[in-house]
Amino acid sequence: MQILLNIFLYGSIWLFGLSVISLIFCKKTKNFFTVEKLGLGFLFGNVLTSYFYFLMHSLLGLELNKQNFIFLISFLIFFSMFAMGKRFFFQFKKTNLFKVKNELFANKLSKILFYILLLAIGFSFFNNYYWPLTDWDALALYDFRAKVIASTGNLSQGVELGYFFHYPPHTSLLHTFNYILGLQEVKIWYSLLYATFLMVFYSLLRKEHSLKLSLFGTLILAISPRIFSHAKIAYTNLPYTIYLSLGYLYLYFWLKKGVIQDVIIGALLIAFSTWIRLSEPFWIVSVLILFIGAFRYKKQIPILILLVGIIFSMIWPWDKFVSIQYNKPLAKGLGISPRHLSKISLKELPKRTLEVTKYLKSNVYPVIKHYVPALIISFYFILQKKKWIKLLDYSLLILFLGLIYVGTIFFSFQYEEWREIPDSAARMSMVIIPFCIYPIISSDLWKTQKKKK
Amino acid sequence: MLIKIKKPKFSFLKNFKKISYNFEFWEKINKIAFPYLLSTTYIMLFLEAYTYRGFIQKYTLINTTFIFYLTIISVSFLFIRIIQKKSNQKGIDSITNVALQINKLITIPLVFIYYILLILEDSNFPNYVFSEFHLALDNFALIVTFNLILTILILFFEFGSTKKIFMIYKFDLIRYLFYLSILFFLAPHFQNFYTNIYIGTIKSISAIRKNYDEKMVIALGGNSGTGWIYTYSKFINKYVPENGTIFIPPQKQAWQMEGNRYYFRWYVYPRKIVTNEKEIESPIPPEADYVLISYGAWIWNTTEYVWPRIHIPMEKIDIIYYINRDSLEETEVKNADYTPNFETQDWGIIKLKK
Repeated sequence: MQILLNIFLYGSIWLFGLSVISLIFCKKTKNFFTVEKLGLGFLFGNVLTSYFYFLMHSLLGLELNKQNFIFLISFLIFFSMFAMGKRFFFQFKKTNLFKVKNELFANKLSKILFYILLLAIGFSFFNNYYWPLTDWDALALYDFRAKVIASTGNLSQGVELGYFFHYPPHTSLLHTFNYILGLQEVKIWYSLLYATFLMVFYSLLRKEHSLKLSLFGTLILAISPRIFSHAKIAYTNLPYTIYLSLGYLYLYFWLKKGVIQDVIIGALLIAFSTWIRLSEPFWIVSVLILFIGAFRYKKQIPILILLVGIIFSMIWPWDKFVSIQYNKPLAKGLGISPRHLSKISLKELPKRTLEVTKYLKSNVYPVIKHYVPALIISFYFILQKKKWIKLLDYSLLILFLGLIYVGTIFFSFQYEEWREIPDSAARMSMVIIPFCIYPIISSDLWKTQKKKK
Repeated sequence: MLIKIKKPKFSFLKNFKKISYNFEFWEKINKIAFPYLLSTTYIMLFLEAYTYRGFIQKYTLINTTFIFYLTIISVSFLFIRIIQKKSNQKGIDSITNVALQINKLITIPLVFIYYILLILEDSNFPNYVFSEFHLALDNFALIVTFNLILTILILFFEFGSTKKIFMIYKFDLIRYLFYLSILFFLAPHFQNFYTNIYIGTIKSISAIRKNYDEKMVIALGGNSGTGWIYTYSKFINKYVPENGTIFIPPQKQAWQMEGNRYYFRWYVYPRKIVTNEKEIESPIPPEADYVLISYGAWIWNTTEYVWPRIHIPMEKIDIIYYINRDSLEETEVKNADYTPNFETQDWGIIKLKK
C-alpha cells in the first residue's frame, strides 16, 4: 500500500508536470531531448502543484488536507491533459528512449560514466528512503511547517509559533503531501530533484557537446561534494540551486540561439526559484537579461513581457499572505529598496569591502576552489586562441560571483551579524557550481587534433 | 660619420628563456628530483596528519599543498616525455621505478586503513581517531588522495591505449595542464563520493531491521550522543498532554538542542514551549505547566550542565518524572522539592501544580 501511495504521489505530480512541459514544447522542436522533457516535467510538476495548493488555501480558503490535495492534483492533470489533447501522447510517442539507450551502451566509457551516475542517484534514493529526516534547519522550519500544516490544515498558527514565514513554503508543502497521505519518507523529494537536475543539466550539455563529454560534465556535477551531500538532506539550497542555475543556463542558451522554448523554460525556472527562497534576490538579473534579449529578438517581446509578469506574480501571493499574517511586510534576507541602499556608508565602504573579501575567501571560495585551476587554464586558452565568443561561457560565473560579492557588501550594511552564519554563505554559493562546470566542459581544450602523418 | 650603437644584450634573460623552453634540461632535472620530491611529499603529508594542517609551513615556510601539486606535475611531465619519445618503461631509472611501484602497492592498504579509521570515527564519537591514534582524519584523507592520483597516473602510463592516444593526437603543454587540473578536483571529489557511499552503506547495514524511532536515534548521533534528544522527547511527550506548556532552558552551553525553541518544538509539537533566552537561573514563567529537567544533550564546547538551576519547593510540584539515560528506566517522585544536583546526570520533567 505504501509503495502504491508513493507511486501515486510522485507519479501524479510528474504526470502533471509532463503535460505542462508538453504544452511548452507543443511546436515541433528538434533541439530538445526526451531526458530533458522528463526532467523538466518533474521540476515543473512539483513547484506548480505546491504553488496551486497554496493558492487554493490562501485565495479560496480551502483546507490543506488530503481530500483537497487529491482533488487539486486530479483537476490539474485532467485540465492540462485536456488542454494538450492528443499532442501529449504524440510528444512522447515520437521520442525514442531506446535510441538513447543504444547511444549510451555503444561505448565503453559512456557506459561506465552512466553507471557511476546511476550509483550516485541510486545511493541518494536509498539513503533518503531508508533514513528519517534529522537535518537541523529542516526540523526547525521546513519539516516543522509540514507537521503543523498536516495536523491543522492551515498556516494560521505561524505567527504565534514564530520563525514560520521566513521562507516560501515550497519544500514544506512537498513534505505535507507525504504526511497527509501517511508517508514518512519525505526526503525522496530531494533524490527526485537531484536526479532530474542531472537529467536536465546533461541535456543542456548534450546540445553542444558529445555524449561522453556531456556525461562526464554531468558526473562532475553529480559528485561535486556540496551538491552530492545536499542530495541527502532536506534543505532548500539544492532545490534553489537547481531552479536558479538551470533557469540561467536556459536564458544563456536563449541569448545565444534565440529559441523561444529556452526563454520560456529559463524564465519559468527562475520564477519557480522564488517560490523556494526569496532571501537572495538573484532572480532580479533575469529580468535584466530578458530586457537585453528583447533588443536582439524583437519578435519575442510580447512573450518576454508575459514572462516578466509571471516572475513578479510568482513572488506576490506569498509576500502578500505573509504581510496579512503579520499586518506588515516581513523582512527579507537582503533588501534592495532605496531605503536599504541608503544604509551604505561610503566612509566605511573600503574597510567593509576588505572584510567582505576576507569573509568570502574563507567561506565561499572553498566551494569553487577545486574548479579554479581548470577555469583559469581554459580562460587562458581562449585568450591565446582569441576565440572571444567563448568568453561568454564565463559570463554566468562572473555575473554570480559579482552578485555574491556586491550582495554581501549590501547585506553587511543591513545586518550587523552578517558574519555569523558562514555555512549559510557557503550554501548560498552552491548555485555557482554548475556555472563553473559549464565553461570547463565547453572548453576547446577537449578538442584534440590528430597528428599529421 | 655614423656610429652604429649596438643594443646591449640581455644575456641572462636570453639564457633564461633558452633554459625555460629547453625540455631536455627540465627533463633531466625532473628525473633526478622526482624520487626525492615524492618521498618529501609523503613525509610532509604524514607529519601534518600527525600534527595539524599548516604545521610544516609554520616552521619551514614550505607549503605542503604546493609540494603536493609540484610532485603530481613532476610525475606527469616524466610520463609524457617518455611517451613522446616512444621509449618504453625503461626510460625511468631504477629509483624512480621503485618509488612508483611502492606507491602503487600501498594504494589498497592505505585506502583500507582510511576506511577502517572512518568506521571507527563514525561508530564512536567525533574526533575519536585523533584522540586515540593522533591522526587527523582529514589530513590523512589527503595522503590517500595523493596516492590515488599518482596511482591513476601510473596506471594510465602503463595502459597501452594511452600511448596510442598520445601518438595519434596532438597534445600541447596547456592541454596537459588542463587535464591535470581536472584530475586535481576529480580525485578528491571521487574520494568523497565513494567514502559517502561506503560509510552510508555500512551505517545502513548496521541499522537493518530497525524501526523509525530507532533509526531516528542512530541518525541523530545515538543515545550516548546527541541522538538522546529523540528518546528524551518521546519520554516528555508521554507525560505532557498535547495542550501542555513546557518551560525549557535557554539555548546556551549544554542546552543547544533542548534549549533551542525553534528546533525543539519539532519534537514536542503541539505542546507549547516557553523560555527565558537570557538567563540560565530564571524563575518559572506563570504560563508554564511543566519544567524540563535537563543535564544537557549537547556535547561540544560546553562547560556548564544541569538545568533548572533554581530550587523548586514541593508546594509548587505535583509530580516529578525521571528517566535514566543508560537504562531508560522511568521513576516518579512525589512530595519532594527539586534541588539542582550537580553530582548526577538527571533527566526528567516536573509537573507543576496549577
